[in-house]
Amino acid sequence: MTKKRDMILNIVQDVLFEFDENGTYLNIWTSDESLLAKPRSELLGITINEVLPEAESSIYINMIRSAIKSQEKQDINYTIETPKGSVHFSGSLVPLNSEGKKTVILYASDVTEHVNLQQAYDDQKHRLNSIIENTAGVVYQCHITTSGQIEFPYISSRILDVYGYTADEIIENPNIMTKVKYSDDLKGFTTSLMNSAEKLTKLDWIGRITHKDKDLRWVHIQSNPQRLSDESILWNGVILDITERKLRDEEVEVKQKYINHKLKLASLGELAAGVGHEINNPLAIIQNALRKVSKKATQGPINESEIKRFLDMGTEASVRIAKITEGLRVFSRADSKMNEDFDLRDSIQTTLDLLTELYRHENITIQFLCDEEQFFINGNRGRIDQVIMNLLANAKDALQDKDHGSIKVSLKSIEENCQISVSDNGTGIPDKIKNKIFDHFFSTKEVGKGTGIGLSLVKSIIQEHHGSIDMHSSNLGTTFNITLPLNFKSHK
Amino acid sequence: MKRILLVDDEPNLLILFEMELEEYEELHLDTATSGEVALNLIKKNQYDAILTDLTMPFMNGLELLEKIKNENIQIPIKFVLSGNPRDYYEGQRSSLEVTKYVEKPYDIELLIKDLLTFL
Repeated sequence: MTKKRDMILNIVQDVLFEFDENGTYLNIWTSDESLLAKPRSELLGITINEVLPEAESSIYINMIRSAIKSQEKQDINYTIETPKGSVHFSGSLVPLNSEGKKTVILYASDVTEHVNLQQAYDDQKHRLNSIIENTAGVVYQCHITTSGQIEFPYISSRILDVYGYTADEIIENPNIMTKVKYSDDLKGFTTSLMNSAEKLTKLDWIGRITHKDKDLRWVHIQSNPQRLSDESILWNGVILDITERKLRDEEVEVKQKYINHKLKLASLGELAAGVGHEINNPLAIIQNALRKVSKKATQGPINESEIKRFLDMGTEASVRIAKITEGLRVFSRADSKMNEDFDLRDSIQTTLDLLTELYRHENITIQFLCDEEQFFINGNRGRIDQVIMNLLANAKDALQDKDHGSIKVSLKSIEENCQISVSDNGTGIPDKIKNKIFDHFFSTKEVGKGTGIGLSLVKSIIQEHHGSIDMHSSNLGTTFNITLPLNFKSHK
Repeated sequence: MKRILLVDDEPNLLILFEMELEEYEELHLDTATSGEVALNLIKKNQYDAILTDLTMPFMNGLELLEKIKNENIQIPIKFVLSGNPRDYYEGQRSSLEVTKYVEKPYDIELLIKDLLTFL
């Protein structure tokens, strides 16, 4: 009977022990002896004390005694070192009362694989958590139910740094996230969110929120939506605190504005002198022609061709003045909005009309080549005029020591862009400063003459217009090429 | 008969001057549209007065006066006409013995009358 019972019990995949109250191994059944700390024959008759380290064995002996005493089943988890490595067991201590002897049966299953999986899972979870918590931003999930209710299934703890509220506070009261949005920016956020939900496109929003301590913070929220089977929408995303970057950008912007202002004043001062001179010349013609007609009229009859001659002189001179004042409007336009559709050819022509005469006095000829009627682009005309003006001024300065300076301006289309080139036949830019010319405050001109902000401004204006600028220079001259996207919509 | 040379790169101004001077039999006017042309004339003729524009390509009015001075050519009356403010070339003016600096726009009739007081 015992033999048959043993045979049956030995089929069990795991292990079955019978202990007395001292922890003595009375019986051992297992199909796999490798799960035992020592061979079965060595274990029988000795106590747990002799097998396991003191610290562990005392715990188990106490549990065995407690099970015997209470006559109640106790759960147990333990690990033993076997010849094939650590084996994790999970099982129960079941008190047994037979033949007047109180023993306990330990039924334990090998859960090593399960424990290892759990361990790997815990490690992975820990790693992910560590990544999330160390990410320079808040990782979150936002869920909007079909009835429009907002929930936050997950928010990483960094939310506390950015918003001043703990993740739990927000998970419990999701309205906080709406409430803290700065009132001026809230509408924009709602629109972005609705858009994202409708089209399932990425939510990408930059705006201000009010930190719990009442500080305004700039945040950048980027989140990808997905529609769940119940038609509700779940976003997975990050919230970045960009306050510092924003402040830095603002600082740069203020600096740039100051530079633009300074540049405008510098070129205005230079221009004012030249322009005054340019207007006074035709003005002298107009005034004297009119005086002459008037004087002749008082002296007696004056023939038609003579009158016409004076009037034509005056008209021609006034047309010249008109061209100059048209050119001056460049400066009043410089502050206007960015999204004007305008003809680049017209813009360049106007600037050239203003400067051609001025430059002629310095023995510089300007030639303008253009292969099409119109080149519509979108942007700020005043700013683009400033670019042309600056490049021409640089070209002029490069030709200062030249007897017959020549500046060539060309405008042509290349696929969807147009290219403006401004070339001079000066002596070129020295190799060692070629890579510095677009830097702020870099100038080769003598103190008081160059501001060092011309080309850096040119570059930033061109970038604002989604264009690019490059420069080629040799001892035969320098060419600046600007590429700007054409606006086809308005072209047609 | 006084001989006057007018230098200006504005042809219409030269024409207006010529018309005005038709009324003055005692004055003979030559005109030049550039400093180079003027220099050639100065070397050939003896002038009592020169009226020159200041801002001109290749050779401006002051450069022209400097060349005249360097070549030791005597022209007693020198008027500089310019659209720039009077003090623009103030420093150079005295060394070049400029008689008068006239700001544009000027009244040709008054200018001639003024010139006559120097001749």
